[in-house]
Amino acid sequence: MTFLNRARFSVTVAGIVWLLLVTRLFQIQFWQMDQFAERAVRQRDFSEEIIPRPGDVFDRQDRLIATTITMRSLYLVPSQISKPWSVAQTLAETLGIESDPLFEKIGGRDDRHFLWVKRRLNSTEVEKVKLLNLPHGAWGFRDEYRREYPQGVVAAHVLGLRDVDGVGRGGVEEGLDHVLRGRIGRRMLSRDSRGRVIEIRDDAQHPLKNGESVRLSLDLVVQLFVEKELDQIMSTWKPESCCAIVLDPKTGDVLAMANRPTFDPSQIEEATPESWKNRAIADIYEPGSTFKPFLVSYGLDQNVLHKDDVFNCEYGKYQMGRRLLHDHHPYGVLNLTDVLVKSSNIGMAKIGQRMTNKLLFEAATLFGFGRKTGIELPGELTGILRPLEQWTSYSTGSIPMGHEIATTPLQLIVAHAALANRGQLIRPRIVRSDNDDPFSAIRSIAETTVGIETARWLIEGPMHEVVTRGTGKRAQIPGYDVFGKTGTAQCLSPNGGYVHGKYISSFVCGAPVNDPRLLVLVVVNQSTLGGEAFGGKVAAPAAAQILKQSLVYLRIRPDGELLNVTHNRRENELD
Amino acid sequence: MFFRFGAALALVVVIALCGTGLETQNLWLKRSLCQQKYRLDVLIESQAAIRLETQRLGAPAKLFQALEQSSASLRRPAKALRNDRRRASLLNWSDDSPSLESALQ
Repeated sequence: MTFLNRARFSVTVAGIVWLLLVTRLFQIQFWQMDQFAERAVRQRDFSEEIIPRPGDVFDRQDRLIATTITMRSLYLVPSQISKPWSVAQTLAETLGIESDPLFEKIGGRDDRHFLWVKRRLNSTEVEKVKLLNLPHGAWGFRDEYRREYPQGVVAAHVLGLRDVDGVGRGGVEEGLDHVLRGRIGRRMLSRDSRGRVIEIRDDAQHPLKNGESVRLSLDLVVQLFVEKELDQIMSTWKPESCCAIVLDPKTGDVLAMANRPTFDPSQIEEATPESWKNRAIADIYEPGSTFKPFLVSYGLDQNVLHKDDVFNCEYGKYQMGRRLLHDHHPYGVLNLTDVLVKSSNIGMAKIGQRMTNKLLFEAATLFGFGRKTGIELPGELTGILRPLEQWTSYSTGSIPMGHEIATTPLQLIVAHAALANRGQLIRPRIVRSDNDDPFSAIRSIAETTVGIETARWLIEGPMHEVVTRGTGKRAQIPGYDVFGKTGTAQCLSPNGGYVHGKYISSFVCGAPVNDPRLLVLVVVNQSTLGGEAFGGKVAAPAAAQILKQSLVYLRIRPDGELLNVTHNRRENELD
Repeated sequence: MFFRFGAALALVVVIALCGTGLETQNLWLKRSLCQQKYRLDVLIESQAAIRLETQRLGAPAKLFQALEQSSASLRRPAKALRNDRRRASLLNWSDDSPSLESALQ
């Protein structure tokens, strides 16, 4: 073959090869483009869920009450472990867990690709695991969120907790879960042929939304005052339970709410059913004498009662229909003020007869009894206020004494707040609204219960005198004009009637009289020590201590004249 | 002919190399972006942990313990340790508050 022919042959062969390559290229890049692109995306891209970070919870002074941090949880891939006993033993020694159950889990299902070993390890444990040189591909860490409470065990019932799956349980965590939880997002990841992630892109259709933070109306310092006094009550009186609430009567802000027994949100496995209950909103009891001021105020407003009315209290025994009523002390004739100051049941029964069941029912309804207050906490009870049709002549004597009606502590203090707030019943709140909150106007709507003058007279007259010379003398605070009302009610029996010898002692107080800024309610359920049950002895001292500390902390100035009077009185005693 | 063929081939190779270079730079930028996002996540976690520890150390309950054990005093020191304004509220005291001793008597 000549040189020219060989050259032509070579070029022809090269051209054919080149054509084949171009055709193949055309086939891959054009005809099968979609198919290969799809396969490439399947191999390269995958999506992943992003768990949102729950929002933080602050008190009204921006102290952090609850927050979330990331912790690492250890998992194993049993299918990749050839020596399960060795791995189980090593991990058990390092993490302080039992090796036998772990070995059974690893060895029992060796086709499994995922097995939790221990969740939410601390940083020391993480470093120790990293140094163990476990088989490559047989283990890993996953980041998980953990709720932390930097202020310690405080306001547990108000806060609630967030469980291991990030769902709010109880308290604000449950009530505002839709705000705190956020929304799960997705992101797209691209990986190379070795499985290494080379690109991360957010999924625009499923953007991550972290939880929003919430600011509560609580003040942690006031809350600490309350928690300390409740601990003191538990050790002094050994009751079944107790609770306390501190409220701003003008705004409805709950500054503190606490119960005993309580629980630790970070150790929920140790909580008992009794400790879990928020008794301030989920316990009902007969309010007893603390209910009396509402009826008297409504009677005055309806002109059925007058401030200078007098009542014959029959020296402690009064036959009302078929029942015989008693007072704790035999009183003769008392004026309206003294009926409240001395807390005469006979006087109140006669007031009930004058007002009749209809007005008594109206008064109870007007002050919010028998319905929820609307606070942003789950599990609130409505209390018990039977329909008027079910009331009898017996009710005419019982209701004025605070029986035949059941209320939660929160309902009671909110009703007293209406009197302290010049007759305006405000809805209580545990969440402070921002200016952007579209519902803030609705939250602040007040209902008128009684007239301004009637409310003022109740606070500045009888309820002030309860503390100065009545059943609440132990609630006196030097330098401050305090008003209040004691309550001592028998415990209800689950089978109907009352439990003999068991009482609920309560005391509600506030200050200053001329411009009430704070209200405190303490309820003690069945004190078992000391032989005392009267609200004035069991609950009043604690309520007064909480009130005094809160007034000083909030810089509510004491009355200079009252301070001088106290100072002079002490000097005279020393002389 | 061979020269023109070679030149065309060289041109195609140069264009391909430029494309590869651009792809490489693109990947490098994407990697940097991912690293920055990762650093941001790490910083956010670090900030959460530090804030948690700060709040824990400054919790009012700890101050109460110190007050009760008399290891802290309610009286202001004669000379302040710091002159700058406190940014985090502690117990809400200010210069015009009534003196604690008179309020508690």
